[in-house]
Amino acid sequence: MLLVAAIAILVTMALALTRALMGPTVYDRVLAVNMFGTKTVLLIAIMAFAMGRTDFLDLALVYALINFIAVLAVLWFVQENQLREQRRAEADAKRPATGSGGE
Amino acid sequence: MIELQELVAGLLVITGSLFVLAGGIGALRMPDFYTRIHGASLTDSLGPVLVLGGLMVQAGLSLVTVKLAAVLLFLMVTAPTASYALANAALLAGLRPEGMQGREPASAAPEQENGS
Amino acid sequence: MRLLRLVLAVIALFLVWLLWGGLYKTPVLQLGIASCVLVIWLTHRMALPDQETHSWALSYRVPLYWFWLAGQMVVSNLQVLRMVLGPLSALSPTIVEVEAKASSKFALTLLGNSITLTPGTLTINIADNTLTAHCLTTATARELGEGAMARRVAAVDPD
Repeated sequence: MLLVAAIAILVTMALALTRALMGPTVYDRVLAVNMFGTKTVLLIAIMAFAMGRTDFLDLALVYALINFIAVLAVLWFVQENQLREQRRAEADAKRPATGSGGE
Repeated sequence: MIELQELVAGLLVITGSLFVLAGGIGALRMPDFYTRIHGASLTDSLGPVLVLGGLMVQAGLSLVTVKLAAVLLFLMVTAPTASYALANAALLAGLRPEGMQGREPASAAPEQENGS
Repeated sequence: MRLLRLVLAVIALFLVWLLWGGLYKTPVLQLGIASCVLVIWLTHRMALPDQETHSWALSYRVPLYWFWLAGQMVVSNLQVLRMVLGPLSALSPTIVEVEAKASSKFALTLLGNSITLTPGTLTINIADNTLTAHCLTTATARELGEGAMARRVAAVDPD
């Protein structure tokens, strides 16, 4: 039973990776990576039971923490990068700032 | 008694993983970014509740259950926060959802081509 | 008073540490206490001294709210499940604005997270007391716009 669930979650992770590779915007990718992370937490929890080593649950908790912080950090980085681009475009002032779609 | 416990736990875990799988499919086939978040949030709400709940049933009353509850509580608090941070960042960056005033064609067009 | 609260926080944190640890030797325990003190010091340094006082009434009203939210989650999960697996033409993404009835930070966070946690609705912006939500269909948007959830949250934390 646990193995079936583990396989379903692995398939979901593969789907998330596909979305991360397809894009098209940065935010889609971050969304997919976030999803991948939360699914990893579930997978670790299930595998802990399947392998009978419940101390793996500590890893799941730590992974959940790190995943959350990592997503926020990446979002902050993207935003910061965008602001920098915007400022540079404004400093140029020759041509209007375009392409704010987050590419 | 033990077998009933195993059965209930297995059913809960499998139902949860099916929800997770459906969420993955949703995140892949939804047409634009904001609807994709809805698909992904399917994997963030009932999926973990059922999977971790099922594992709790299997573990019985022990320290393991407390740890699972901690993981679940943490996921339930952080998952919507992360979704909100993501959606808000996209909104502030000028990615306008369909149906919102001041729609920007530059950001709306490429999604619809690639998403389907 | 503030010092007492910090010491209590360290003790609570250390109890959790003991629960997780399982390796009870003197040097490890010393490291544990040191890490707890470090964490409390860091958070104290990072956060503004919290202006919002904790009310014990919240402690029992929040779990009650969670039960209601769990019911909502099941219903909306099934709806979105059907939407995801069905034809995409059934989607009608809509923006709706929800007026929060209670304005404390806690209530706003609870409302925003509840909206996001039920699939089909997603908080995308919070300005003052108005939350902008993105809905998967016009039907869910109408339901959310009626403000049942905002009323529930206001009942949990009337402020």
